[in-house]
Amino acid sequence: MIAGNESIAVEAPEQTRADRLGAWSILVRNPITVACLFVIGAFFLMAIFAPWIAPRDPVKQNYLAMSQGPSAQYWFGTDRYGRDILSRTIYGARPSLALGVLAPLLAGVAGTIIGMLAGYFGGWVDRVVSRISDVLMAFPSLLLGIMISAALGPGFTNLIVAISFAFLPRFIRVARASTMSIMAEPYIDASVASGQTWFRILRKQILPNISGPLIVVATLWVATAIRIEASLSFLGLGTQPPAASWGNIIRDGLTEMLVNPSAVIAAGFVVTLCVLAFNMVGDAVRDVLDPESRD
Amino acid sequence: MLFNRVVDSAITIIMVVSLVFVAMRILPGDPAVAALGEYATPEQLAAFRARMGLDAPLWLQYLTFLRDIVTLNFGTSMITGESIAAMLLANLPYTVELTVAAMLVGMIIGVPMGVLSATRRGSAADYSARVIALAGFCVPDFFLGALILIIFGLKLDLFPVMGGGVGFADRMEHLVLPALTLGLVMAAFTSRLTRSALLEVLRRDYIRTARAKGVDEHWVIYKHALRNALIPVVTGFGIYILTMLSGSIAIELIFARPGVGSVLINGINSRDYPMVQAGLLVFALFVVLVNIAMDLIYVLIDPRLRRVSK
Repeated sequence: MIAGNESIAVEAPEQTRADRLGAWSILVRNPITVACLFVIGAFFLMAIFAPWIAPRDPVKQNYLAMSQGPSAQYWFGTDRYGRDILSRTIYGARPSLALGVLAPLLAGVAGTIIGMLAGYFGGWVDRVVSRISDVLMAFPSLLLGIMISAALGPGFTNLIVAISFAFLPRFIRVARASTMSIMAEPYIDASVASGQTWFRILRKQILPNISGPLIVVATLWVATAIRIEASLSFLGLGTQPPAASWGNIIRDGLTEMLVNPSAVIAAGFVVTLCVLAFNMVGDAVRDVLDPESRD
Repeated sequence: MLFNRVVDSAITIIMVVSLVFVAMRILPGDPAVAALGEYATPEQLAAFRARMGLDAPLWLQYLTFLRDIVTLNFGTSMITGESIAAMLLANLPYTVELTVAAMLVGMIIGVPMGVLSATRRGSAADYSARVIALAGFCVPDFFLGALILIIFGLKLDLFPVMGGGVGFADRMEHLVLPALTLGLVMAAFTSRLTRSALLEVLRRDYIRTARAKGVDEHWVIYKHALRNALIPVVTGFGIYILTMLSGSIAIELIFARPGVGSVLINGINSRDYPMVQAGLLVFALFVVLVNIAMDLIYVLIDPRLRRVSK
């Protein structure tokens, strides 16, 4: 799937509002997609209401209850500082979902602007943009994310910057290609001839027509963003302890995996479920908006 | 044509190397503060900058940076004082053997799974192969590694779980679980790609012709279809190698293996600025070299490309 994502090229279908409303009804016709949407909804509720749902403070250490296995009191056990794994897992949804939404969104906005400018103006602007994004495309997004956060240092803001930047070339490429295919349409010539400014043409004519494929790309990258957040936090580059994230719960759990594997298993299972749900919905959105890419 | 490619690759290498420079020096975040911590005195910071050449004008730093790369002078570790070039050289074989082994495991499991899935489309075998492929994408590789380590290494005690091993046999034994972990992830990609490529090829006219001539179905699939279906699988090699390479960083951490990834992660954790920079450079150059190699391989295997570029 990563391999598939790396080489995504979506043609620009003509999209109207009615088309997209129709797409939604096709989307919810599939029970698996609906189930995944419910799972995603549950994750969002868990992240938003974490302080009310979590039975304990996720960062509070308790030296009387260190490295315990699952029990009635601590469902998923405790880590070596006596912190409640269940509460940490619930709070861990926060950085994952925040990043899963923000990184594709930021990359999408910036990538669309850059790609549209490159596609519209062509010439040296296009050559420079394409060249840089081609070089960046050669890097798997996880590797690019690791490299950028290694250079920037750990922390949540740096993490968002790193992952958004890792996704940027994918959006630039789609926005650029879609813009170029729209540029061939006669109505663009008409707009230019009627004296509209380039800014107005980009905003009023091109943007609405290329938004479909860009939405597809954005939904496909949410799952990847969540996985990369987990990987980076696991490597110690993402969310920093004591704040909880699924990746760093697994990292902390590794040292005592022999006696108490519950932390690794609980957090790992939750990441997997979350990535799975977003991935299925992303694929479903792609199948609906871009049926040709289906296998 | 070859000349053009060499020039092209040189430009790409300079660009990637420059990006590493930009990332390390120009992006927000003072390397001196990062290395010494927030509580370092101004004198300590100044001494660090002088030692690392960070007080020189940027253009001079850039030229020194390029010169050091060309002469393979990556400096010494701030923590251990060891030569970073020697350290990378000692660690490189472990990363290469893991990546290669994972590719092999992935192909051996993934291709037959994809063939089975495509030729028995809609069957239980197809269904399970697709579920496994989906799981391969959704289960994070480091979680899979942890599970494999718990089950095969600790519960069943079949294989060693720590370190890289000494001597050939020991090294191969230490390679099994990490390679299995990454290989399973790779198998998920490969089977998915093989399945869709094979389904695509099986729709072609020449397959219908072959079947109409009464060619044995096995022969049709293995001689006519699979050969062509494997082209996208083989040309995807570059992406796979790099995906395995980025996965190897987390896997090395789990199995406490030596490797380029662990050099980079150790550098980050101990705030060893020159080591991080060298680690980043190695990964960046890896990406560029794999891509150049893949470009050349395309031209070699696909005669059409040769004609176009002339």
